[in-house]
Amino acid sequence: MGFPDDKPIVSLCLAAFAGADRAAANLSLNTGLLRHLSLVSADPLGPEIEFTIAYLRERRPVLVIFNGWSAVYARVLAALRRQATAFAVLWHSGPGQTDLAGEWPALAAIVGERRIAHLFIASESLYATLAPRLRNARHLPNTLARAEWDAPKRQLRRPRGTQITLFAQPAESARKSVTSCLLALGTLRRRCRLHLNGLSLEPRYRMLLDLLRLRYRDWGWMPPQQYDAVVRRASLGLQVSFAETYGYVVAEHLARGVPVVGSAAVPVLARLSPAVRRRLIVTNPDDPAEIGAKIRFLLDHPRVAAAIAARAQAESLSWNRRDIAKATATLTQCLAHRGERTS
Amino acid sequence: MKQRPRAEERFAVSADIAHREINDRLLLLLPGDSRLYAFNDAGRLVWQAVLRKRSATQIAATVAKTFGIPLARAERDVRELLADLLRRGAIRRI
Repeated sequence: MGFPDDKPIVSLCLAAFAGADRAAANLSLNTGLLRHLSLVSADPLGPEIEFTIAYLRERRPVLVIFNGWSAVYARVLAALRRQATAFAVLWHSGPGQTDLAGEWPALAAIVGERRIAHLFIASESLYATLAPRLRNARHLPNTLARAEWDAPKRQLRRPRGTQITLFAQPAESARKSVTSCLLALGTLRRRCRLHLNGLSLEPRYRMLLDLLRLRYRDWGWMPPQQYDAVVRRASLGLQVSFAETYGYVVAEHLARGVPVVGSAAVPVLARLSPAVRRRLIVTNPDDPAEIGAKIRFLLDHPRVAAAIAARAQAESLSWNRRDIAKATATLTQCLAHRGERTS
Repeated sequence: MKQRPRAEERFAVSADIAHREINDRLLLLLPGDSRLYAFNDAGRLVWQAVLRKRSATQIAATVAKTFGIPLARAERDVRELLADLLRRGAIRRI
């Protein structure tokens, strides 16, 4: 059967890597240059990858982008070795996350792989340090989907009291300094409700939530519409990470005009202007007292918090537009270059 | 809202659908969707029948016979699946 499609680039990502998968889907939406496929199975011999190989053989895209690295991509490379398609890897993790996730061996394998024509690096800091030493590195920033700013303008009725989001899966809780955040919330005098997306499934965090007598609602996995409503109703968000590649949760809060207390390791926050950063960023993600002080200030000064949120929203919208333009230009250049070589 | 599939209606696979059988599994890629859909055996049978331009009634009869289930249940399940495929744009009425 035919595989009709006209996008010159196909992007592949394992769905288990949710952040990278979302970034790749956004790249597709924002640039219009690629067809993104999200792979549920990591089995290099499974039917899903067989389908994908057949799809790529018939479609013959100019460029295939692997998001991160996996044995399934090595299988695709081997299967398409005689095809005149160029291959690229989009490396989403920043330096810290590459380390924490044990991804350096994978990155080393990509650097040594001759068939990878382009190594796209999403993290600006990783790109800046590695690019001079690599023949094929290009900066391809992650972006937020344009539609995030087009969320319904009608204000949702905010529930009474203070609503705080702390979105972190148990598997990533250490990286997101969840314990310090919970301890900080435990120092608040005002009544607030915490909104979680799975953290309380972990017994140790449920114990801590109960010990600190924090009121919470754990939504678990949320479909997009519900996620949007929970974020828009929030008074503020928490994302005090030790390492973060982009900070989609933060970007999604800022796009909806919700301030987020976080760390300088969240690139989305680190790019904000100094006046905004001063109110939102803690210097030590492992310090519950400092996190608590930032939260208290924003809750005690709602007008300042609203002004900070509005400014953060405008700034992040502005540089997201620039990043989309940069990503589009980078991909277009790669396609043009390929066209010259193959014509 | 579009009508649910009627008994004698026939369908065709939409032109912009990528589909293929791999190791006896039917996989489907819809336009604008990043996930592959995998059909179970019954779904695969329905898809094959759609490709052969069988009517909803004929498809249900085949499913009932193949899986040894009551015809009424097969008709209900087949119509539900066809309605879902129509809604997603995977098939169209002919």
